[in-house]
Parts: sequence; structure tokens; C-alpha cells
Amino acid sequence: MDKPIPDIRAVAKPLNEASLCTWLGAAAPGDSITYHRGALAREVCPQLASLPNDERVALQRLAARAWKLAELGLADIVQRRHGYEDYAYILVARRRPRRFASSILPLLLAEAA
Amino acid sequence: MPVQLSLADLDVIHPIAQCQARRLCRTLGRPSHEQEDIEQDMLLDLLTRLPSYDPARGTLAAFATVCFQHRASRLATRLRRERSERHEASLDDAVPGQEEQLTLADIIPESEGYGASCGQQTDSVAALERRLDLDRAGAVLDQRDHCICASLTQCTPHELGQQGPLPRSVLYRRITEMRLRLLAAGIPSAA
Repeated sequence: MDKPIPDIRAVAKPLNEASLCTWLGAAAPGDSITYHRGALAREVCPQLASLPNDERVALQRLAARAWKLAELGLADIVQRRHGYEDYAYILVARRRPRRFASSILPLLLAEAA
Repeated sequence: MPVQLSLADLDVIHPIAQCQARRLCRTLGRPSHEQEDIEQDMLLDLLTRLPSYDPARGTLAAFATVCFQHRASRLATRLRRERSERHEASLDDAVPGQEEQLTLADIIPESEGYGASCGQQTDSVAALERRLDLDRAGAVLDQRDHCICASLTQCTPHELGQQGPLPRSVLYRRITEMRLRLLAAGIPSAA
């Protein structure tokens, strides 16, 4: 009997902060994921109330997480226009640094001193 | 007829075993995670001795206490003997027969040193991988979170929140941030 191989890059729906980070952790450089489709700035605006409050907060967190990942240099965020107020917000995995600067050694030396 | 233990009996016996195991751990200076093993050992010993229990001569609690005390005494003897068999040496001891003045710390490789005597892995490849993993995780985390990670190896987030100085909400927010960063860096096992 054939047993399907689990796709470790598959994303659990609905997309949230943890599943976005899990996807990025398993993604190869250049892999992309559309984390939102629509007009993000309008939908996260509390005054416009275009989404229910809990959905809006979840979307805001997701967008903020994507922004943080881009700031950390782990991904690029781009958007593709499909129509009027219809954008795909895409996170593209970046190449990881081949070597991290040693961060544990200074701590160990400081502790030993 | 052999005595059968009921759940009510276990309710009586468990605290006694816990107390005796805790006392033994404290007396011998054993780590607290061994307490449960010692407790299980004592309960097993009691089960093997249960057929000789005579209800007419005393309560089950008294019988169990005597059994536990005897078992604790035998365990203490064994643990003390094991400890005395170990050769205790300081890493600062000078190594004789060397032209240079070398200490044990200079000649023992990390993979066979203190970790080996603590029962940790002595595989040099595994040690290297562990070092690389730690480096990778450390680079992903914020510098200010390193002290929280160090504290979390000693106590739970709940205890750390009680000790302060970080407010509980800030602490849990930073732990969530750390977990997400580890996930994004591809280290889900640590997250």
C-alpha cells in the first residue's frame, strides 16, 4: 500500500504567526507564500471595521510578523496587484547566512570569568 | 491469603514513600529528579514484601514505613559505595611526568571531560553538532533574551514570573517571540 510522504512545507490553515514561522523554517531560498489577499492597510484599520475584531487582530499580528521576519533578514515581503484594492501579499524566503557569528562562546567566556 | 492493595491503601502509602524518598535524596545530596526513581524502587520493594504482611500485627502504613526505611538504608549504602568508587580529581591538578606544567583541564578533551562523568554523550561529532545548534539558536534570539533562556533552564516561566523583575506579561510575550523566532530559523524542536 502506498503511503503518502508528508509535505513538511505544507502550511496549516488558517495561516497564523506560528504556521507562517514554521513554513519559513522549512522553506528553501526563493520559496514564497501568499499570507494575505486583499487590501491589508484598509482591512487592519479599526475605524473602517471591514473585518470582525478578532479576525482583524489576527491579520494585524500576521502582517506584523511578516514585517519582523523581513527586518530580521530571513525573508522579503512583496505584493502583487491583481486589481483595485486587490493585492497578494507575498513572503519570499531568503538565503540563510552560511555561518552565524558565535553567540554562545562570549556568554560562556563571560560566565567563566 | 495474600493482601491486596486497594486505592485507599495507595493513598496512604504514596505520601510515606514520597517522604522517605525525599529524605534519602536530601541526605545523600542526590538531584531532585532521582526522587521519583527512588520512590518507585521503594514501592516495588514493598510489593514484593507484601505477602509477609500480617494485619493482626499492625497497620499497613507502619509495615510500609519499616519496609521503606530498610530499603532506604540499603539504597544509601549502595549509592555511597558507588560514589566512593569514583576517582575524584580536580581539573586544576598538575599532570605528573610532563615537561610543561600542564593541568588535567589542559589535556582532557571536552568530549571526554566533565560531561562524561555526568553521563552525557562523549561523541565528539554530537558535541560539535550540539555546539553548532546552540550557536545557531543563540544567533537567532535577541541578545536581551539570553538571560531569560539561562533562567528558564533553572525554573519554570511561572516561577520566573513570581521571582521578577520582569512582569509576567512581558515574560510570556518574550517567550512567545523567542519561540516564533526559533520556528522561523528552522529549529522547531527548540521552540
